[in-house]
Amino acid sequence: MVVMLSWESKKIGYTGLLKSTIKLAKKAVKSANIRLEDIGLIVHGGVFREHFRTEPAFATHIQGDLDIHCNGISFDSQACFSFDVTDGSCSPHVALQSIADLLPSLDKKYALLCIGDDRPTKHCEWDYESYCIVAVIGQSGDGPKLISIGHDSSKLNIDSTITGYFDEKIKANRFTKSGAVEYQETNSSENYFSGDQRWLSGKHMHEFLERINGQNHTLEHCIVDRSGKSTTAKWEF
Amino acid sequence: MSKVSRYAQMVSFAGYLPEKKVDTTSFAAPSDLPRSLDFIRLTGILAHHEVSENQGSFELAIEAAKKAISRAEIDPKSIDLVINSSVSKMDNELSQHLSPSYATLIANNLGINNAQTFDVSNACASMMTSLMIAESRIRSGQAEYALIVSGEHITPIIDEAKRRNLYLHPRAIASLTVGDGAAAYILGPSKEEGRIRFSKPFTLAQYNRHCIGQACKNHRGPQMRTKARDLQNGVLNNLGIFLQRAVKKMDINWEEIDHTYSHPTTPKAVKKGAKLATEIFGEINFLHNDSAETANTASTTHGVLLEISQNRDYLNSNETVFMVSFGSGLAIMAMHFNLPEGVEKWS
Repeated sequence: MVVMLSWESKKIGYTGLLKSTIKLAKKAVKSANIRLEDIGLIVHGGVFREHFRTEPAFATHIQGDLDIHCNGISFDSQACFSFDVTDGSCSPHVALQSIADLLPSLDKKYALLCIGDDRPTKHCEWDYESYCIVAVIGQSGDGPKLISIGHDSSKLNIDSTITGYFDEKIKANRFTKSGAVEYQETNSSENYFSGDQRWLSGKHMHEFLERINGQNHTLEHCIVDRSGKSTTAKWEF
Repeated sequence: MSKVSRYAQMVSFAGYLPEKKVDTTSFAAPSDLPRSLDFIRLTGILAHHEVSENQGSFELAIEAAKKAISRAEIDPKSIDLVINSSVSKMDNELSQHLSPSYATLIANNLGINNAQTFDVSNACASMMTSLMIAESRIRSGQAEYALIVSGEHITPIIDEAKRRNLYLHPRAIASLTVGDGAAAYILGPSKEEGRIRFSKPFTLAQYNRHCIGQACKNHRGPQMRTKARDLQNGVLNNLGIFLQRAVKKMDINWEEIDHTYSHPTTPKAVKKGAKLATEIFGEINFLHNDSAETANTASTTHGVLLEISQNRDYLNSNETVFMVSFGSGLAIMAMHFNLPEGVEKWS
């Protein structure tokens, strides 16, 4: 599939995801020994956006602030394509797989994987640790190689949802979680890592990245979403 | 052993419009608008459709998906990839679904139990972005049948705009150009190469703050703010060269395209784009600029227009379709495909 050539992660506050993403993207691109203009695809994965924004895609703001191919189209201009994906905490694996799907058909050889969430409004209860993750993904090169991504919906609880709503009492936007969940905690062995079910996407990826140094065989990274559905990425080192 | 090549094709599509039809004159009369703007003359939009009670993005999406599955004549259980492309994900109470993916809920409702499910968000280009991902999955053998679906309940932004003083908030006027609707596509495998082709997709991120959709800060429901003229100029200034590059990349002949569909921000805007294309390539065989009574249904526009064409008996098996998509951000991309076998017989 694809190779993770470099990566950066950072814990962030309630907001400021875009600013952190830009900083980390510049560092990750430098570490991968490529230029920003070599990036042809940006995919962001996450659930929460400031003010519950629905459009445009968060990835377009990343592309714009990094100034990657922000010129008009000419007969020989190069292109970058940006969009978001989401599937609860499993969003990082969906984003990775989308990059693996599309990168071979684009002219550029590199993509940015960007993961993270912003607290939508100050009225939202926020008991999450937010992490911002940026990785440079290539079709080949030195780094952890993504072998496969599997998915499992057999334990899905369809009533475990998160919904944004307007609270008439305080005249502000908030979100609510529904459904009873018996949270699964961290499960780790030499070749397997599954994070806490309460974590956001960024925390899942951060903890995974903390474990890959020194790996020399394979590592399966499982993310179990609050809804019970899960994805498993198999990496080779 | 020789490797068997595998490609993708459009197996079916469907569009769905809720029954309630609202005339533009009922909410955007010249007396309502700054400088007595003649909104209908300016946009060409005569009406749009709105959800009824108990309908939201989800219910609209289910209607379109059921129709597309029925037309594909496949067992829903054979669908192993479901991608939702709805921008709004809004129910009738104006709550916004966030997690898990909307596709998970849609698949569950349709009895599609073993599919991978996730959402793609790329504004009005979300469906074409999803189609591109699905095509790649099928071509690589990772998926057999993919359902790409979207329901858009976006007309609450009309109410929000109307609540505002449009003299003070001219960037809300573009909110009056939308309608509710849904679309679904089924992609499946093919032994024949080239039944679906994509242009190189562009994001012109210098326009990424020209159209912002988010929750209204002090009222229930969404709002949209648009620098409409600048955004339209962004499209028109790049469209000519984009189309030339797209046609070349997809290796198609303009004169052999049977049906052309553009994302209809407004019928008037589509006319401007078509004029530009005609100057470059010559006449367009059949431009389906039929959004005067549907308005802009966001990510679902192409599916809604295809449905209208099918209902009017304009479409025949294996004819070719060229679709151009624009999305806030600014995404520009195009797709070319052969119509499914038997499209003229669909009910």
